[in-house]
Amino acid sequence: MQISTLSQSLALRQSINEMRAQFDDLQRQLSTGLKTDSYAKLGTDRNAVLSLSHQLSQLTAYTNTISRTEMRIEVMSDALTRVNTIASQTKTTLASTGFELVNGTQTSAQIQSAMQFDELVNLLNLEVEDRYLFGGLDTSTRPVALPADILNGVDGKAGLKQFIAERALADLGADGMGRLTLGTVDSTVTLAEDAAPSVFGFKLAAVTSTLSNATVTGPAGTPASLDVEFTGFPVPGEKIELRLALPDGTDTLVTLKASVNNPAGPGEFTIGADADQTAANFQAALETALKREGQITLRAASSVEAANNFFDYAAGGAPQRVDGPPFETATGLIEATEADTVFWYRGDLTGTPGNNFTAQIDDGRQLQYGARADQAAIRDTLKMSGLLAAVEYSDAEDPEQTASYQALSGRVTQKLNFKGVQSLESIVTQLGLSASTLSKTQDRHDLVMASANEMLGDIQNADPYEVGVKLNTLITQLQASYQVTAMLSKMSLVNFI
Amino acid sequence: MSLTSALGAAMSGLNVSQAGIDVTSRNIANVGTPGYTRKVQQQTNLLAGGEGIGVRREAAQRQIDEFLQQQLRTSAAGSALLNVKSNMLGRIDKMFGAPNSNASIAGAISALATSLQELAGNPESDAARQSLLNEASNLAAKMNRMSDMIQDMRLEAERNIAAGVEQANALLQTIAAVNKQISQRQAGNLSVGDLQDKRDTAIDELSRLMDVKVVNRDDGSVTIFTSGGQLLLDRTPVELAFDERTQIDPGSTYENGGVGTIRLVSGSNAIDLIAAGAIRSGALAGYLEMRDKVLPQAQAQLDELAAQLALSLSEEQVASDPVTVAPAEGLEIDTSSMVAGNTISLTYTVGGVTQNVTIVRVDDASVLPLANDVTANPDDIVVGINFNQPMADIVADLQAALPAAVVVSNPAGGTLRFLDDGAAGTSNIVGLSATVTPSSLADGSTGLALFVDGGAGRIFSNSLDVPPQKVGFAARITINPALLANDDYLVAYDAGVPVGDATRPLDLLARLTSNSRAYSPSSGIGGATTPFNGSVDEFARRLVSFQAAQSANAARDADAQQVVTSSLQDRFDAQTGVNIDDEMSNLLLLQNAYSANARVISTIQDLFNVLMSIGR
Repeated sequence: MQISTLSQSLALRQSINEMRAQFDDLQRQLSTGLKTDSYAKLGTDRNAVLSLSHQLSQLTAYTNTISRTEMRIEVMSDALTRVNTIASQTKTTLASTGFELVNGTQTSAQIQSAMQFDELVNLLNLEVEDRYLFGGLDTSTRPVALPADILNGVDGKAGLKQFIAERALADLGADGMGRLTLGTVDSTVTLAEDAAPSVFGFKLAAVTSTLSNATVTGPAGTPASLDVEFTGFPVPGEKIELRLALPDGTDTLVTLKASVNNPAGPGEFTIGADADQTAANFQAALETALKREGQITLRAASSVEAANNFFDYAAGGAPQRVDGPPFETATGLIEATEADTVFWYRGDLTGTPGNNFTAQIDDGRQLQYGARADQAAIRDTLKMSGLLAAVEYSDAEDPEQTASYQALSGRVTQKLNFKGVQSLESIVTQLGLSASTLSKTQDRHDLVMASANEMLGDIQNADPYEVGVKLNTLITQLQASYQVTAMLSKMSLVNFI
Repeated sequence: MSLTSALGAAMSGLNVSQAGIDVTSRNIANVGTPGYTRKVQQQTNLLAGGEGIGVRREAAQRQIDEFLQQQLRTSAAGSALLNVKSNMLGRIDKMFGAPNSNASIAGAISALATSLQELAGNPESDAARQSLLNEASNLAAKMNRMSDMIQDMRLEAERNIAAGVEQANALLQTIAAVNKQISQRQAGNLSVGDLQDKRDTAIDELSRLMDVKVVNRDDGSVTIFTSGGQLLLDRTPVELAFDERTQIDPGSTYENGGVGTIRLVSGSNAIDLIAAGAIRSGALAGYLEMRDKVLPQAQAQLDELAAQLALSLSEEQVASDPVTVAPAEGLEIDTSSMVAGNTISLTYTVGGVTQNVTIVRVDDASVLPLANDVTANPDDIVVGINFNQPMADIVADLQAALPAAVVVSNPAGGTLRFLDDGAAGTSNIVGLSATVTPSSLADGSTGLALFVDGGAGRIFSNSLDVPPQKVGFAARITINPALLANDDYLVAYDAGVPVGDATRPLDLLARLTSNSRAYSPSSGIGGATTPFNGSVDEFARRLVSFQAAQSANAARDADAQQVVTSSLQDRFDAQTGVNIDDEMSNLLLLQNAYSANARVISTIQDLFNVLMSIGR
C-alpha cells in the first residue's frame, strides 16, 4: 500500500496541532480552575450547573434578608425591653413615694416620669439604616412627635397640657360642681346634670338611701336628675349614697349621713327643724361634698380622659378636643385638626398595629414581624408617662390635692398593668420567637448552600492534580512525536543514492 | 531485424526513458502540491505490420479511484455543512457566557430576583430601587444584544451565501473552460492528466459549497448535476443568481420573501433551488439552515422568554360577576380594560361536555381566524374576535363562534354577559375571567409593567395584529421609562401606599420565580400536547440548556464527520499522491534503462563501424 509523502507530513502536522490544542486547553483549566468556559462543553451536567447557580443566588439573597431582619428585630426587642422597664419603674416609684412637691409643682415621681417620657419618645423614634422601626410601613417619617411639642404644644397648636386644662374646665364647670345643678324647692332637693347629651362632668349613675322620711326618685330623665324629698326627719346615722360616673369610666361614691351636729362635719348634713330646713341643710352639705369630690376624683379622672382623648385615635381619626370656648359649658368633643393640635403619632395607622413588616426568608415563606408605636401597651406607657409629666399641683399641704394625686396614681398604676391588652412582655416575646424562626431558617439555608456549593464545585472545577497528570502524559506524547518527525525527515532514499 | 531497426528501437527506448524521467521529475517537483495526482508513464510495444519495432510512449495517466473520489467529495460536503453549523452555534453558546459567571440570560433573571428581594427588605431605600432598575435594564439590554447578534449572524449567513454563489459561478466557468480543453486534447491523444487535476480541484471546491453529482463523458468532459437533479454544467454552465438582502430583522423569513433565495437561471427558465430542496449538503446548505431554521428558532425562543417575562410581571386577572336573568344564570365581565392580545377565558359545559374557550381580542380583522396553537394550552379552543367594531357586532361574532346554548349579550358599556340556556338546562357557564395588561402603574393592583415594547413605552400585550408583537420583541424589550422617571412606582401600587410597604416587590418576586406559566411550543421547547410549564427563570435555564446542547451536538457531529473525511482523504492521498522513495527508485530504473539504450546505440554504432571497415 502506498503512502504519499505529502499526506504523511500533513497527517503528522495535524496530530501535532491537535496535541498542542489539547495542551492549551489543559493550561487554561489549570489557570482558571474551571473545566470548561462554555455551557456546551459541560455536557449533560449543564442543567445541574444552571439550577444550582440559580439556587445559590436565591439562597444568598435570603441570607441577606434574614441577617438584616435579625438586626432589626434585635434593636426593636432591646428598645421594647427598656420600655417595659420604664413601665414597671413608674409603678414602683408611684407606690413608694408620697405627695412631696419637689419643685413646687410636681412630685419626684412626676419629674422622673418627665425624663422617662423623653426617653420613651427617643426609643420609639429609633432608626436603623435610615429606617424608622416603630412607625409601621411609613418608614421614612418620624413616628412620634417631639416630647416638648407633645406636652406643651408648638406654633399655636395644642399640646397635652392644654387638653388637660380645657377638659378640666369642661368637666368641673364654672362652679366646680362637676356640671351638676342643685336646687331646692320647699322640701325637695333636686340634683341634675346640666345638659344632655354631654360627655363632661359627673353622671348620675345610681343612688341608695337608708334615710327614713325621705323619698328618693331617680336618677331618670334627660338630662338625668334625682330628687330627694324630705317628708319628715331622717334618723341620725342614716345615710344616702350617690354613685357618680366619671369621664374615664370609673366611678366614685358620695355619701351623706344624717346627723344632729350643727354645724355638720364633712360628709354629714344636719337634721333641721322641719323638712324644709332639713332639705336646705341637705343641699348645702351635698354642694360641699360634690365640690370636694370634684377636686379629688373628678379632676384626676378628667386628666386621664384628656390624655385618652389626646393619644387614642385610629386610621382616619384625630384627637378629640373639647368643643369650645367657652369650655365650662361645652357638651361635646370635636375632632382636632393638624392646624390646631399636635398629633403625637405621625406614622402608618392602617391595618392592625404590630407585625406590619414582611420578610421573604424562603421560597414561599414570609415572616411577619414588627411592633408599632400605636400598639396598645406601648401607647399606654407613653400616655401615662406623659400624663404624669403634664399634671401640676400647687400646694403640698392641701388635702384635696394630695387625695387627687393619689387618685391619679391609682389610675396610672391600673393602666400600666396592661389588663385586657397585649402586654409589652408578650410583644417582646413575639419578637424573640420571630428571631428564633429566622435563625433556624438560616441554619437550614447554610446546610443547603454548603452542599450546593460542593456539588457545583465538583462539576465545574478542574482538579489541579488530574490536569497535571494529563499535562504530563501530553508532554510525553508531544516529545515522542517530535522525535519521530526528526527521524523520519532523515529517512529518504535521496540520502542514500 | 536489421541493425537500423535495432537502432530505431534503441532510439525509441531513449525517447521513452527521457519522457519517463520528465514525468518523474514533474512528479518530484510537485511532491508538496496538494491536489496533485501522481502521473504514471504508459508505454506499449510499438508494432508495425505485426512486428515489434520498439516502444511507444502513451500519454501519462493519473491513477485515480473515481468511486473513492466521489465518496470523498460527499464527505467533504457534509464536513463543510457541519463546520458551518458548529461554528455559528459555538458563537451562540459563547453569547451565553461562561458557567461560573452569572452572565447568561438565566443568571441575569436570577440577579433580577435577588434585587427584588433586596427591595422587599428595604422598600424605601433609594439604593435598593436604583439597583433593581439597573438589573432590569441590564436584563433588557442583554436580550436586545443577543437578539441583535442573532440577526447579525443571519445577515452574515446571507452574505456568505452570496459570496458562495459568486464563487460557485466562477468555479463553473473554470470547469467549463477546462472541459473544452480536455476534450480537445483527448481527441488529439495528448496527455490530459494535469488538466484533469485542475478540473478536479475546481470540482472539489464546488462540492464543498454544494453537494454535486459528477458524470464523466466519453470525450473526457464532465457533466455536473445538483444532488436534487438540476443540471449545472453540460457544455455551458448555468448561472446561479442570489438576491441578497442588506437588512434582516426577525420578521424576515424565507416564506415572506424577507431573505434572499438562490435561483438557477438557464436561458429563460429560473428554478428556485431552495424551494426545490436542491442544496442538501455543503457550506451553502449549512448557511441556509442557520439562516432559515436554527437562528430563527433561537430568536423565537428569546422572543418567547421576553414575552413571558413582560407578561408575568404585568398581567392582571379581571374577575367576573355572577348574574341571574331568570331563569338563565351566568357570568358577566367588564372588557373595557382589554387591549389587543388580551384574552378572556370562558369555561362552559354543553350536554355534559366541558369546553375551554380562549377569546383573543384583535384589532385587525385580517388576522382572523386564529389557529388553536396561538395559546400554549393544547386543550382550549381559540376564538379571535375583532374588537374594532361596535359592541353589537362583537356580540354577534362571539355568538357565531359559540354554541347556541351559550347566550352572549352586552347589557351595558363594555360588559359581556354569558348566560346558559335557562330552563332547557343543557348548558352551564362554569367559569369566566379575563387577563389584561394595564398600562397604569398605580391602579391598585400589585402587578407592574416593568418591561415595555420599545423606547416609547408601548405596553406588551402579545397582540396578534400585523405584525405580531411577539416577533422580534427580544430586540425591542426595554425597561418602562415611567419607572426611570419616578421609582416610587416600584412600591406605590396605589395612592396612599406607605413608603415601606413591601407588598408589590414581594408579589413581583413571586410572579418571577414561583408562579408557573405555559410557554408556546412553537419556540421549540416543550411539545404541542404537553407544553413546557414553569416559572420564568426555569424557562430561561431551559433555553440556555437547549442552545448549549445544540451547540455541543453540532460540535460533536462536526468532529465525527471530520474523522471520516480525514480518513477518506488519507486513503485518496495515499493512492494518488507522490512518494519520493518510489520516484527515486523509478528514477534509478529509468537511469539504467537510458544507459542501457545508449549502450545499445553505441554498440550498434560500433557494429556499423565494423561493417563499414569490412574490405578496407
